[in-house]
Amino acid sequence: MKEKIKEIMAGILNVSVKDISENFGPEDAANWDSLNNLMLISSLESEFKIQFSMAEIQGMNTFSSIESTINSKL
Amino acid sequence: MKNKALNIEQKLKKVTDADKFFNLVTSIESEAQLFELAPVISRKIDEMKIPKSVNFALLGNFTLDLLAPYIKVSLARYRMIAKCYIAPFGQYFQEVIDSESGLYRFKQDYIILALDLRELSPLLYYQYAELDQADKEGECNRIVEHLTQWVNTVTNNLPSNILLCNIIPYNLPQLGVADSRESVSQFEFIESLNQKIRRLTKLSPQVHLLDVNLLALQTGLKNIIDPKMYYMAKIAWSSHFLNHIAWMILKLVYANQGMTKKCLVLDLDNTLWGGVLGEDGYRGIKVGSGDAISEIYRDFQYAIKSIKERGLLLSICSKNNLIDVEELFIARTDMPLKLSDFSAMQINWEHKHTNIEKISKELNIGLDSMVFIDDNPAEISLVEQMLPDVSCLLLPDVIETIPELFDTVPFFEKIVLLDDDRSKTEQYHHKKQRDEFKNNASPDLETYLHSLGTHLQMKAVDDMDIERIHQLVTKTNQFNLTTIRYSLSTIEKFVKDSNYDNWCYNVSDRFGNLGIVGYVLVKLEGQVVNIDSFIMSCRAMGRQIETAVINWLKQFYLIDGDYLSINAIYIKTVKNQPVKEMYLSQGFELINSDDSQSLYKLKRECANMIDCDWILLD
Repeated sequence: MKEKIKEIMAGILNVSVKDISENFGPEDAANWDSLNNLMLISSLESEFKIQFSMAEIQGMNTFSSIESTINSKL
Repeated sequence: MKNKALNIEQKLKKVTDADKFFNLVTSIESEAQLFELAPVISRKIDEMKIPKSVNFALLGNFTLDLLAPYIKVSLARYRMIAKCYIAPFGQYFQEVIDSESGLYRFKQDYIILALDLRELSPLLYYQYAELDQADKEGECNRIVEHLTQWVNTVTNNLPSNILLCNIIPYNLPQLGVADSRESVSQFEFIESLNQKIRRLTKLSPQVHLLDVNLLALQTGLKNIIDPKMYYMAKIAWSSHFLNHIAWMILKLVYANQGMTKKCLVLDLDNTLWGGVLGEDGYRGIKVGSGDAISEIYRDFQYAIKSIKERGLLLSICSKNNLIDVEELFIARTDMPLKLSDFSAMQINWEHKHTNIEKISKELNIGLDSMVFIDDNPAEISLVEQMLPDVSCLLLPDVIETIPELFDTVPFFEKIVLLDDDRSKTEQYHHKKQRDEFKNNASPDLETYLHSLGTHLQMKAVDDMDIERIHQLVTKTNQFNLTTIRYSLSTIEKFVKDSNYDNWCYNVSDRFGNLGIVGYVLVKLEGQVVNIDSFIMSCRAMGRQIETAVINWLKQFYLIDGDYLSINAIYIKTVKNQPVKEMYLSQGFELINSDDSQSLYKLKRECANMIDCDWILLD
């Protein structure tokens, strides 16, 4: 599942999977603006068949926080 | 599935050639995968710098950015490149007034205007119940005036087409269940507002309605919104909805660019009706009222008729006897389609791609304006390979979805229907010209046959096969050399009788397993064998399986075995014309022949294998 999240992030943010470390965040990717963030949220929701709440999204700003939020919902 | 996605993604990133890129995009079959790859596809389109593109400008009073990748993917599926300009947030009016704006510099083919009622008239949206009638109408008129001004500004200054979205009432009904009794219910009010918006299309032929309200109905109001997206970023529409809107835009563009197809080429058996005419007879094929299967095909025929009403020509390409088909259309008056609905017919035993070329020449319609529809994946594959310009549609396995087939492609959309369109079929009746078409055996045909990956398995008939064999014996008319209708008990006796060999064969190819498709009954008489019956299901015809079967029989009896000859007989019927010369083409010698039958003999010393290496023997 870690791999899948990284793949999705890499596709939308136009980075390579291997660049995505635990603390990978908006400072590490030039393309990670608010709009791409929402595309990312959309893709993750579609892939894992879950819905994030606004509050959850506000906390999802690094790879590790994204992963743990998804885990908590599965 | 994961590996497949990765593969396509890698290929997409590496590709530089436009054609190969389009092939990759169209090869993506699942919606989910397309959605996942949308950012990659979208980026690739921007990178490739293909000069010819369809340009869109997105204007509105809410965030439209996310619509752009969906438009790009939707158009790429049909080999078009889309480029999108997104106007600064909320500045849909300023952009059209200011001649220095990004809009004027972008040179778009289409301007999409999407307005959310929440911004356009918060009064109407949030406070509908509080307003009196005069206020409501006042607001409505203000909106329509505002839009009219916007449309006129564009049509006076720009050549672009306008795709005008209507209003979606997300919070319907504010009055709850009492809405229907209100003197002006909210539902009716929004409807009347949308009707006035629809009339704006009369201002100029540049203006088209993008009926997002209808789309919202079809998709479900609950499915088209994502509240957090709206509150966080003013994105009114869910990804699911954006996908549907992009599809609607594609259909409009397809029609507007004049890409609409001109001719439908239709198979008959299991396409226009359930069953096979040659086996079930005109009484047995299923179409009309009374049972599920018949009604499905009846409804599909109605759908085909409506395509004809849009100005497309209908034609038939079927492996059947012409006389059987004519008889059927005369007898089955319960079918929506009549023979006179068709402008061309190629009903014979030749390969379909040859027939489609004949239809193309006869109607003087380019191959790229034709759509071929068949239930058989092998036929579809043949036409796709031999005539790549023709668009092919394979009927779905889930037959209850067949009547909706035409909704899944943009080929039949037109911007407006003219009286001229409705009478296209009659026009062609008068203009028909028949060319002599020279039949060239294409060297590529063998490549196609190889690509099928056909496997043949010969085996002795056992008790479990007898019912299927009996079915073949009683129902098969075309590939049936002697047409003797043995009963079930007679066949059982043959299987037990040591004077007979009962062979059956199973065929599979890359599309799947066709099951037991043939039966050969051989009588052993001293040093000679007689082929009493040789039967094959018509869905296995057309790839020389009989050659492989007879090769096997030659090997078994004459080369590996001690027999001196194989005798065979062809008994003529109205329906088995296709196999009249079969034994001759397999190297048999004609011994005797009259009006009703022909006798053949193959001597051991003349037993040669005939090449058909596209069939693999298991």
